[in-house]
Parts: sequence; C-alpha cells; structure tokens
Amino acid sequence: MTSVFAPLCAEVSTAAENQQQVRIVGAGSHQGIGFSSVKNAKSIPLDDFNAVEFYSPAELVISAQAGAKLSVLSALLAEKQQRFSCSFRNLSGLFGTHSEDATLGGGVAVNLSGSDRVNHYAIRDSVLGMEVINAEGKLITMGGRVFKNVTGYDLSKLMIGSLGTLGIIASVNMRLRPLAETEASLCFDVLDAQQAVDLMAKSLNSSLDICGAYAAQTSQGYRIFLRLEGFWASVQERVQNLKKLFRDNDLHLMEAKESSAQWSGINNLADFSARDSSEEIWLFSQPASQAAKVVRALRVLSPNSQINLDWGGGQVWCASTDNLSAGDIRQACQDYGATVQPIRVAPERAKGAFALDSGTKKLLQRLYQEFDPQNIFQRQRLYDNL
Amino acid sequence: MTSLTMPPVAEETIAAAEHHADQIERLLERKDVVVRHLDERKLYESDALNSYTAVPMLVVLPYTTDDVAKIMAYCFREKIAVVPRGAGTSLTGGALPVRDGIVLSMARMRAVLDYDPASRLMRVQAGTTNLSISDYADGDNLFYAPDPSSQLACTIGGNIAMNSGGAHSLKYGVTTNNIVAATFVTAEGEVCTLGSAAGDSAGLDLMGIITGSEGSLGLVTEVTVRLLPKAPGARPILLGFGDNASAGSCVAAIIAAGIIPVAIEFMDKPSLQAIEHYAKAGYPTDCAAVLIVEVEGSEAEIDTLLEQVCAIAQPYQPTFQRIAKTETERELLWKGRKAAFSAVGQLAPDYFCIDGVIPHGQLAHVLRKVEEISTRYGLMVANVFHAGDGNLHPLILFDANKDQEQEKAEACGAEILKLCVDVGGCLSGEHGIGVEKRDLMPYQFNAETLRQHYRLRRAFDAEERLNPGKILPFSEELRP
Repeated sequence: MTSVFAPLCAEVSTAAENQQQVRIVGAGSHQGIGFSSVKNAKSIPLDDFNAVEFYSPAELVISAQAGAKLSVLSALLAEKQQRFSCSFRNLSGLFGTHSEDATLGGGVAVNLSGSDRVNHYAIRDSVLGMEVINAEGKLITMGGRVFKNVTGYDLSKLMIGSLGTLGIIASVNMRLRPLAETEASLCFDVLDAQQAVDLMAKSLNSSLDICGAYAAQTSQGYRIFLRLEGFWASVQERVQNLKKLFRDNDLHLMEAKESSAQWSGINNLADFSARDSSEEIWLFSQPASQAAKVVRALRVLSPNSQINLDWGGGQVWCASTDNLSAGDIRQACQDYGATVQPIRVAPERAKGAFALDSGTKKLLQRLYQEFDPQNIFQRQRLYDNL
Repeated sequence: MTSLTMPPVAEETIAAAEHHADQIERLLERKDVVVRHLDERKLYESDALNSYTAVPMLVVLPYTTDDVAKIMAYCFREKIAVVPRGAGTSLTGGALPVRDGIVLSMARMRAVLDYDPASRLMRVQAGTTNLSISDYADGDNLFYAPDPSSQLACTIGGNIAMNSGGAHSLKYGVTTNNIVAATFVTAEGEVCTLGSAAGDSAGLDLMGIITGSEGSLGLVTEVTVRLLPKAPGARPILLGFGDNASAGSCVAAIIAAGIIPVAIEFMDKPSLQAIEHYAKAGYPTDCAAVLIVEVEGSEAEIDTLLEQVCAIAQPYQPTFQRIAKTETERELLWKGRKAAFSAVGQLAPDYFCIDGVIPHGQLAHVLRKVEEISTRYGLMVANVFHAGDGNLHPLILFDANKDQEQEKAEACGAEILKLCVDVGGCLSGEHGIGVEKRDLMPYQFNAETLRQHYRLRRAFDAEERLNPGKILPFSEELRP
C-alpha cells in the first residue's frame, strides 16, 4: 500500500541524490528557534499533511499528521472532554506569527513543554510513536500507539526536540488525558527570587498536586502563581489547604476563568511577547533549588532584564537588551547546573550555547553520520559546534 | 534448552582470561574487583530467564564511574564483549552473559550521591535498588514512582536498561518519565553527562534514547531521578467478575469515563487461587477475574472516585466488591498482587512470564484469544497484569522436564505476542526484548525501521560488543 507520505519521501530522495539540503516548513511559528539555516535549501512544506489519522477517546490516543494545527486538534479533543497529556508552549507571540497556526510537528520538533510539565508529562513523555522520513527518503515507524513500549530502541525520543535535523516528522501518536473539570490558582507577592523559589518548592513538595508554579518579576519583587486542577470538590478542598499553607501571605484567589486565562498567557510567554521585540530571550534549565542563584548571576550581567521563573524554578526565562553572549552566560551559570538555550537571540550571540563534553560530541557526530551522512536535514540548525 | 543464535565465540579471548583479569585489577588498583573462579562465575550464568545460560569469562565488580570507564576502555581496546548486569532480575535474558565476555556487575555501586529535596531530585549510583530510593526520601514525604514487582531487588540501572514500569505507571509513567540525567560511559570508555537535572534541556534527547536500550549503547553509572510528593492517601477497591471479558471491558470503561486511577491490576482465576494459597491476601477465589483499582487523593477525593468506579463497574455485574478501609488492608491487597509471580510458580515446575501490550479497548477480545491459544497448545496460562496500561503478563505454565514442553510454551508465548501486535499493541511493555523476543522484532517492525535501529546501535557501539546478541534480530540483511 502506498503511503500518503510517498510524495514527501520522493522529495527527500531527490534532495539526497542532488545533495541538496532541505528546510522543513510547518507554520513557521518556531523558525526563530535554533541556529541559522542555509538560504538555498529546498523547502518542504507540511501544511497539506494535516489529517487526523486515528482518534480513540477510550484509549486516550490520537494520531495526526505533522501539519495538523494544534489549535484544531485541541478543539477536537475538547469535544470529548480530552486534551494532550502535555502542553505545548506557543511562541508565536515572540516571533510575530499567528498563534492558532502552530502545528503538531513543529511543537514536537521544538519540544518546549508548558507550565504543567512541573507535575504532568512533558512533550517527550506524551509522544507514543511517530512516522518519520529518514535521509534516504524511507518512511520509518517509531514507537507505537500504546503507552508502555520497550520494543527495541525508543527512536522517537531522538526526534523530539531535534528541530527536524534527523528526519521529517510525518505523523505523531500522542497520549491524551481527560480535561480537568475545573481549576483555580492562588497568587501572592514575595520579596525576591529566593523567596519565590522556596515558597514554590513548599507548594510543590506538598501533597496538594500543584500543576503550575510560576513567578513573574515585578517592580517590588516576584509574584507567584500556583495552579490546581481537578474535579470541583477536590479543587475547593485543595484551595483551602493551600491557603492554610501560605496563610502568612496576602493571597488572591483566581477562579476557573481567570486562572485558565492566566496560565494560557504564561504558556504563551505573554509577559515577554508584550515587551520590546528587540529584547533577546534566553531559557535556562537547572535544578529548581538553584534558580535564585541563576537569577542573581544574570542580574549581574544584565541588571535591567526581565527574569521569570517557571516549573517552580526549573526554568528561568530572561529577556535582555544587553546583548548577552552565550559564552558569558554559560560561564556565569555553570556552577548551578544550568543549561542555556537561546530562544530569540541574534546568531552571533547564540553561538556556542550548548556545552558538549567530548564523549557526547563524538556520540552526536556519529549519530548524525549514521542517520544523515550528507547532512540534508541541516544539523547546524540544532548544533553549531559539531 | 532451546537453541539460540548468538555471536561467534572468540576462544582465544577466553584463553587469555587470566591475563585480562590481571590487567583489570592493575588498572583499577584493587584485588577485589574481578571474579575468576568458575564456581563463582556460574552464579552469573543467567538472569531471571533461566532457560538460557552461559558462564562469562570474568565478572567485574567496579565501585565508581572511573572504574567503569577504565574497564570499558580496556575491553574496547582488547575487543572484549561487555554484558552489564544490575540485580539480574531481567525476565527476557537482558543480562545473559556471553562466554567470551565479561559481566560488568553494578552490585557495588549503590551509593546516594546527592539529594536535593527542594528540587525533588536524587542522584544515585546505578546499582542502587529501586525501593531504596523511595526509602531514602521517605522522611520528606517524597518517593520514586516506577515500582516494578521486583523493586526490592532490581536496580535503577537495570530499570533504565529496560525502561521498567510497574503497577503505578498508569498515573506516574515508567522509568523514562521519571529520570532526568545520567552519567554514561561509552563503548570506548569516555564519560558523558546526558540530560540535565532540570529535565528537557535543548538538544537531542540522548537520555531518552539510552533508556530502554538494554545496556547495548553504553553503561549508565549514575542517574538523577525525579521524586514526587506522596498523595495524602490511597485506597484500592477489589472488584470480582464472573468472567475475564467483563473485567476487561470494565477496565476500558473506567478509562473511557475520564478517570485515571493510579493503578488497575487484573488477576484471573488460576492466579487468584495460587495467590490466595501463597499470600493469604483475602482474594475471592470463586471469581473468574478480579481487578484492583487504586485511587489517590484526600479522603473526599478518594470517596468520590471510588463511588464513580463502582458506578462504572455495575453494568459488568461485579460479583464481589471490597474497599480497603485501612492502610493494613491496603497493604494486604497489594501484598497479594506483588507476590503473584512467586505464587503462580507453585502451579507448575516452570513458567514463562510474557510481557506484551495492547490497547486496553482490546482487553476482552485478547483475553478470549489467549485462552484459545493456550488451549490449543494444551498449556495452562495464568493472567496477572497491569490492565490500565494494557500491559499483559500471561504466565505460561509448563514442565521443562517433559518432552518438547518448553518449545511448546515458547511457541505459545510467541503467538500471544504476535496477537498483541495484531491488535495494535507491541512486543514488550516493560521487560524489554533481550534474547527472548529478539527474533520477533521483524513481526512488529519492517526492514527499513530495523535498519534505523541498527544505525543507532552502530553510532554508539560500531563493533556490537556491548550486550551482544540482544534486542535486534541476528540478520545481515537487516543491517544497513
């Protein structure tokens, strides 16, 4: 049986024969991510590959082609009171694209999970399997449609976050979960990042099943947002317990509608999208307990930057106009176990953001050599230093 | 024993075993790291799949990552195969030695290296047992979620090798969802850091690809695991049914209704009777099948969820229903389930534990077909499994001393696994492929896909000396 992806396979085969590099195009909402690509690469648009191939609400699985829009899929799932078991960050606000256009394939290739990753699944955890077109133009099946699966190597993990540098993600099988009946959030102000980190940890280490812990920098310090989801009685009970936990703070309760809008904004980086588009945006990942130290180090390098914390401090988002370079930033933060990712940064300053030890570098070089010896998928988009 | 194609043995390597032992001791500057004596090496001749055996040339027991790096570099130079071993609880022959290779046992690497309760992270050596991680964090009300039945003995390194799950994976996921970083020693003996303590750092997910790779890509020596806060409470309900299919349909109905319990476990009549005889867990032995459905939360949440589960179960006419009211009752209920494999061991001299996955909507259909298949082979099958994940564990009972019975049991198991693939599932949910299911891989994946698996393997271990003969079928045609 001929696959619906046969034309894409043919395009890749031809590109490989002609030793021509390809540029995989979804909605373009994440094109700003990654290092620069070659100008004359052959574009392979995926917008026509947008079908839902399989949806079984009872089995909590959906399979859709990579060009399917996340907004369309989410609406379809909501009809059955379901959602993806992860959430996708939508960066369209940062890059000036339409938020409703972002695609499933793009979201998976970029692998930026939303705020609820703090206690739900990440994108990498929600992908059950996929079909991928490799550098020979062959369609490869990775993983499957069931959650537990150790049948051979978990090849789809390599594709998630690969920016398409190992092949074209053609379709993806995603795990789902039920939509929460309701939600609520508590918000309160604290003096500084350290206090924010400590209090977010206090909530996340409690048994209250917190599914969002974010701290936004304000003129006086930080404003913490803590999110609860579940069925109504459960949320009411946990809100009361959360209030007790933070009874010394001046608390503001956000009911379902306000809470939902707040977290949608956080997921879409609204705090940063609303700011000057010339600001450069960096993302840091570190153990949550180290976040305040990372903030202090960044503050020294860029006193006027906006620095917000997500995942209870596991992520630090920084917007700066100080033309920080990846090298300076890495040096300032390396003692705290932080890794850095340029999100919207000029290529010359993003250079060398990933510190690779010699063993990892060799593994990556050999992986790319095996999977894409001619480099048609432009590995320099993900690694500028291989 | 059924014959198994394995890589050719280099007899000249075995002849130099004493020399290699001396060299490794010299490199590690210790006299207590190499096991040379045949009687002691024999202890390592198989894992929990004991129908296949091979006595390794040497067993090496390192203490540190640096030791492992030196051993790996030496073996790479000398072209010696390395078979990593945690606690040897693999049910698929994942730690089956090769005669001309060493077994690299992680038994002495069981230290907690770093504990950061505020970040809910712990870094441990790979030989640390699964349960001891949770025990260590217990004082802070934190735990490590994946809970294989063997969690008292199995190591976190072995869990990574097989991407182990457990009864509570339905809510909390399997190993790959609960680890964030690892110290990894390559085939050449280089030490790398994979992943990051925050999880989800940019770049290719090498941490993800080595998880479930059965020690064939390199060796994990240290791992950072995510810890979770314990729920305020958890309570299971035991539901009994008149037939397997009703229990299977009830599972699908619970999930379809939008309830994700922490666990849904299934046991059929032969298992129930064996467990009750062995563990006295108070199971209703007159039921054809039972489900343990466990929910978590506050008292109010638990009451509401259990009420909903009971209501969903009614159309399937449960013949028995009991909620564990106290922690003691809960522990007793789980004690029975966790003792299931040992208990079933009493029913026959031998059994194979099969591990396949199906979409849970197919449970009732597949259970009927499994019964048909086992009847056709004239073998008894006991079913104990993680129903919420569709992760089947049919236990095929046989007597290896009877003529051809083991071959029959293997063929029966292969047919059940093919059935899993046919209904949209897969060959392994949590035990891995090892040698047991290696030759079934082409049933699930086409040649192009298997070539992609080989490419990956070659990138990490071009000469295929790490855990040779495992996972991928032995076929030149499938190599790219």
